[in-house]
Amino acid sequence: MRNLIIVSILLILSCCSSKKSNNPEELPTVKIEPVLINIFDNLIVPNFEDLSSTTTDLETAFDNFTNNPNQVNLDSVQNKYLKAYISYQYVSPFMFGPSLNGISDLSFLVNTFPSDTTQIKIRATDGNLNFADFKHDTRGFGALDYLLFHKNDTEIISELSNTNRKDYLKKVITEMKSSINTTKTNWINYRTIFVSDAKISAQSSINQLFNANVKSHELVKNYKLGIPLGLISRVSSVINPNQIEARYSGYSLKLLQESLKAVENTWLGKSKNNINGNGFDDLLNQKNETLKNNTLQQFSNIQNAYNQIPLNENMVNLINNDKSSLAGLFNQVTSNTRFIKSELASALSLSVTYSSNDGD
Amino acid sequence: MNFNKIYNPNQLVSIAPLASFRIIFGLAMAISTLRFIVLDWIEKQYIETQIHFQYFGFGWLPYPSQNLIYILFIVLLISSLAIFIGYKYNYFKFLFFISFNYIELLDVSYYLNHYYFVSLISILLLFIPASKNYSIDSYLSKSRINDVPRWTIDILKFQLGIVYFYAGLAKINHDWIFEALPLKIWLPAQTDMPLLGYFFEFKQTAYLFSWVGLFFDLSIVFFMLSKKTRFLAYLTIIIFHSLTGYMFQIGVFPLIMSSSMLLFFSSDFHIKLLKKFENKNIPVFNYSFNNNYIKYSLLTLYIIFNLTFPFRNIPYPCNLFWTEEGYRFSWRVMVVEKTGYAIFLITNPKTGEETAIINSDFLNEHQEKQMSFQPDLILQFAHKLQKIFSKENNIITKVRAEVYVSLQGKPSQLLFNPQINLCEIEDTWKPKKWLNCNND
Repeated sequence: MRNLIIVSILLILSCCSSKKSNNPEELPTVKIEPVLINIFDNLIVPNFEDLSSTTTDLETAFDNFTNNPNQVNLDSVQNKYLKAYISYQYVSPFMFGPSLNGISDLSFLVNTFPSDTTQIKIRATDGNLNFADFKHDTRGFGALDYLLFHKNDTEIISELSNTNRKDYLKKVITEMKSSINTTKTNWINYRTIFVSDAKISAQSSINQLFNANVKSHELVKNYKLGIPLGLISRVSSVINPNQIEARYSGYSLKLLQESLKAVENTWLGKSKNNINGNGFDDLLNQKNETLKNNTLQQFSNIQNAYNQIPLNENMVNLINNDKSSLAGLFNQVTSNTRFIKSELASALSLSVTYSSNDGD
Repeated sequence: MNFNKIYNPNQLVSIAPLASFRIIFGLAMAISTLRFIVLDWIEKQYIETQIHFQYFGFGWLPYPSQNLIYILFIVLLISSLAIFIGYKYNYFKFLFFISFNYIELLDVSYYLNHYYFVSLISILLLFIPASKNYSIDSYLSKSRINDVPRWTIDILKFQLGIVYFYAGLAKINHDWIFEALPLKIWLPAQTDMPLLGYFFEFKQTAYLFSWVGLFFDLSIVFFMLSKKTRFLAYLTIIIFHSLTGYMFQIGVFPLIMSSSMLLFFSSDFHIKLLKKFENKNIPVFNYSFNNNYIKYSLLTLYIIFNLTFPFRNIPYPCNLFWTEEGYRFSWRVMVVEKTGYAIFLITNPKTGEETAIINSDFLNEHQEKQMSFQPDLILQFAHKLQKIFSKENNIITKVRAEVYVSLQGKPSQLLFNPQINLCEIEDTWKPKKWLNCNND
């Protein structure tokens, strides 16, 4: 018996030593750090900075409008709203770490939809500026969408001559600006923590990034497509095509496109300036080329399905009259889940659960 | 009887190893239960969940109320502690058995081989006089026994042996031996580990770990049985479990397994270990035999069950790792990397329209993850969705699912034809012919 053990130990040692002398075959390793650095420096921080500056522009435009309420200035406010809303889509895949705010995250604070328009109406009329409660569906982009677009421009201008309403809108913007800027600053200070945690454990940076991007993808699939299209059933809620993002301004399809692109960019490690750095695709290089190519193909299928949608139409009309092209997009987005979630998790040993359960 | 010359189950041996085992096991289970409570897992796994996956054949078991769940855990904690100190062992071994197994049966999606191990030990404890010495019971009853029939210790050794040996048998497959899978996938994710991390980048390491792991599992019990090799073997156990405990998220079980294996050490070792707890003032009694044939028949059945049940996958025609028919309760520990993605589609019988559902509306992350690749859970979930979405005047009769499963990091494939109406399929012992086979 003793001999057996000695022999087996010698065997093990000889394996190890032969590894050094021969040319050992390297497994394609997962180099996490370059991905973290690229996504932090070229996606997360610039995208938050962008959102911060577009929100500031929105505030300036609104101040101009209140000083001088006319069509030109309203156009400018509406234009800046769209710009800010688009930049928001590009931080949506990063709702983790510094984006968390107690039990909620930045997305709850600035983009809860559909809005509770009845409450917005009441609060705007009363000039109720108490924003401390959890009625996030009376604030954020959804409230702007309603207050700036629910009637024609002339009527909006006249509505906003009311001081209470004007104050409410102003407060919505300043609140958004404040939470966005806080989040931005927190992210900037988070670099060391984020980049140095280059492991693959359940709470590591790459795992959080992976799960947050999947969550963003699921949000698009379920809340921007499946539920409003009536292609997803839930136990309690009633299907309503009006439950879409940016329902009043009619930018739903545009924002949908941007949010799909944001998920793809995060997977690719591609900045808004289209510079493609290290991303999840690079982690799959050599390790799992099939999955990499399948995912790339699926992103392109999604793009093609999006191009089938008559973009000059309002999304609500499309849902009511002919939702086939939107349903096609929903199917393609759904098909991507297995690539960017389950197969990617398997290939890179990422964990799809945050909670730490014991395994076998 | 000739047999008795080779092995006499009633030969008297020291009770010390048994007492150590009782103490270690009770303490480990108390720690494990406490950890479960502190991590808020009661809420996350059993209270905040809407759907519970039942064990096959246990559909009749009522799901307890919230308060009862807390009570079960408190009972489990108290009985673990009682086993640890040996207080009213004859009552608390029953309470331990009932509370632990009731909790286990609540939701099969939390099944772990190690929990199954604890369940089996909880059964054995019912038969074993582990509290007759080195315990509060012996102090209070002013009696202790020093010797017990050897089967009481050997049955535990048998049980421990089964865990390792069968875990080794489960590794004898093409993927493990010739492809170093799944370690080839798992190790490169551990390159940040101190000292060893560097080596995980090489293919050879994955093969080395696979083969050494296989050899370890198959042989460790035999090295523990031999006095000559025992010490080195135990050292290997400590290294093995520390390593796997560090690398993989397996909770307290490395601790439970490595401390349980102390059982294999000699009586003298255990007598020394327990010296402090020995109370020489208490009179020693002899072990009283009651030739209870029911007990012996049950134990024989128990042994036969343990030896054969893990092999029940053999008659099933398909790839075991794919269909998981006969996968549980057979010590297939960490031999497969598997993930899945399941989309469920419900047909509204009135309009004929088909809609998807959001799995996370009904399942927590862990349940969803497990459900997505285990056929029996997929079927159960489909049936539960049928109930949930059926209304009095609108009974759902069709639920389909499109399930893509990826095995050992390979591209995912359909687990079964997505056109199948899952409402028409029942879970049975028979081969699941509705599944694709995946015998490659």
